[in-house]
Amino acid sequence: MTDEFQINRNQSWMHSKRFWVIYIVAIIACKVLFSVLVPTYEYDWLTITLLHAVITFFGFHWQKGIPFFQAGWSQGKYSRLTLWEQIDRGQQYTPTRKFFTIIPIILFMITLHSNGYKGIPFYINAIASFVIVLSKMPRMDRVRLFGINKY
Amino acid sequence: MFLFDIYNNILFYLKEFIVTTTSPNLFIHGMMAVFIIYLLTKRPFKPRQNDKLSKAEEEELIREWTPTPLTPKSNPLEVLNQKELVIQSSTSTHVTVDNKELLNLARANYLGFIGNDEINKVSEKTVRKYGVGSCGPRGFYGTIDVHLELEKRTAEFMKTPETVLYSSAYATISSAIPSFSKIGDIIIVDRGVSQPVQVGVTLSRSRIFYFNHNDMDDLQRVLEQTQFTGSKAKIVRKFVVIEGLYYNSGTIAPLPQILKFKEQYKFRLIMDESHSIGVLGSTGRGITEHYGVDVNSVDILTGSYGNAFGSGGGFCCGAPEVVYHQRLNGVGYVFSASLPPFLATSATTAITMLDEDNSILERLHENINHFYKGLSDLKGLEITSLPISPVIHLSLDSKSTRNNRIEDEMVLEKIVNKAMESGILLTRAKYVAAEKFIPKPSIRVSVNSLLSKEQINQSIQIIKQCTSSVL
Repeated sequence: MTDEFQINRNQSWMHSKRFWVIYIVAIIACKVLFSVLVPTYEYDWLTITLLHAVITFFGFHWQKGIPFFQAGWSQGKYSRLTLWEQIDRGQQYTPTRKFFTIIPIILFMITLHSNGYKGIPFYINAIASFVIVLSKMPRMDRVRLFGINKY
Repeated sequence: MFLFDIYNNILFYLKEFIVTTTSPNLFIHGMMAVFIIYLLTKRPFKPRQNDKLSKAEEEELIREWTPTPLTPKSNPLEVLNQKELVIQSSTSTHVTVDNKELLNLARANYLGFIGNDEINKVSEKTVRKYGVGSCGPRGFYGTIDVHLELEKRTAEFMKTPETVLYSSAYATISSAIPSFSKIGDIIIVDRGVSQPVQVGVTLSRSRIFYFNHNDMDDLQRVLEQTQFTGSKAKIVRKFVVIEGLYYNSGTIAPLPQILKFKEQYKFRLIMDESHSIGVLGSTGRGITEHYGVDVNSVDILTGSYGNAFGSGGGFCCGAPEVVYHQRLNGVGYVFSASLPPFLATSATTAITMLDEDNSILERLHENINHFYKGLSDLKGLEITSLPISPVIHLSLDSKSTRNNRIEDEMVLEKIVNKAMESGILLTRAKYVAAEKFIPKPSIRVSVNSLLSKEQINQSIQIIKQCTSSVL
């Protein structure tokens, strides 16, 4: 496979451990920002979880192909794959995938702890986290439910 | 004691967490923790190793696919430049195209050595002795006595200490410049230089500055601008690159003034004399003879055997250091097969013939003069070249120009086609689209010394008729 020797710059940045640290620090920074700017706001973790879910859903599971680089070398190989499906050339349960799967789970747990298991906040939290974690499961690789976002 | 404190603290928070967390909450937390552990224990695998597309998906892909064209769509100018003539036979002055004999004014054969009997005989003899090609690069079994002879003969002719031979005139200047000027050095170039020089300048990866064509004030401005003092000045080499006779415009460089600047601002001069060697000066030694300056005041001087001497290849002459440096660093010298022996001997013969019989050169000068005078009252076209240049550029004057490159080229192409019907072969000056400064569209007439007075008069007449009928 010629693919073995080509670096897909669309996803290669995700494997860096430094980036993981920055990712976690950014989430904590958001929390700190909420605490400093609006100390009385009680749904800060919920907001972060929801924002994280929405952003990563569209970033990882909606946008297909290689949007930011010249992709002539790939000969359209990735044009139908989302960013999540391009990671590690489709290998499942790799460290990068595990990391980005565990992050929303932990966010869900934190939000659960701070906002409880009842009422609308819980449902928002649960649904957002469920969708985002489900999309990352190996079973969902290259599956387009009900043909949504198929082409 | 301290450790115990921390332990107590952790225990306290854990207790608080469990106490404040209700049982359903704890249950979900536990589930999540189990899920995380499950994830972490999983080993990587690749799903669907060899999955095939379904028939419908295949159809879909095929339907979606639109092939991009193999070649980009060419613009009108490129279409115009694609016209090719098939030359069936050629003599010194004439070519046969479509069974019709045309007077060739499109070829740079200034001294008429192409098709010369004596040179043909020498070439034939060399081919019988050495074969057609030499077998390798100069440093690798490619050096034959005729190469050394030609180098010696050229050095004698140019009155320089040493000469290095290149196998292609194009590669001469485009590898001489990069062999001296490297990253961090400064090159100052005239805007009117022809394409090989531009390629050489680009390949050198140096810092490039341009000055307006033959504009000495502008050159001085650039020199002032690039004047460094202190430690930087010692390590930065500075080169000024000019052409002796500019092929793209038919003008010559104001060499004495540039040499004066050279003393003042301390730079090295690289000059390409591809079109002025064998043409300018009373004995054909180029622009230095024309101005009466010493050849050795030009540091690096390159030339071509292909234009006046009717052979092939190029040379670079200068001080021994300049030449020896190129024998190891000139890319075109080191990595290219050496000049075919018969071209070397024909160039040697041509140089000798020029040295022995100066009348060819005088005839060339007369012809140029005659042609220039005849064309100077041309209506609609103006001559942009100098009266001493064998390359005469005829471009549309201010009245007849359309101020649109493609339309102007079309008009000139019409004139060229008309002239071909009347029996002379002309050509437009064609440029590579990637060139940085493309001169204005023109017809390029190349004069050679073999033309008789009648032929010149006739071609002037034809050019005039064609121009007046087209414009």
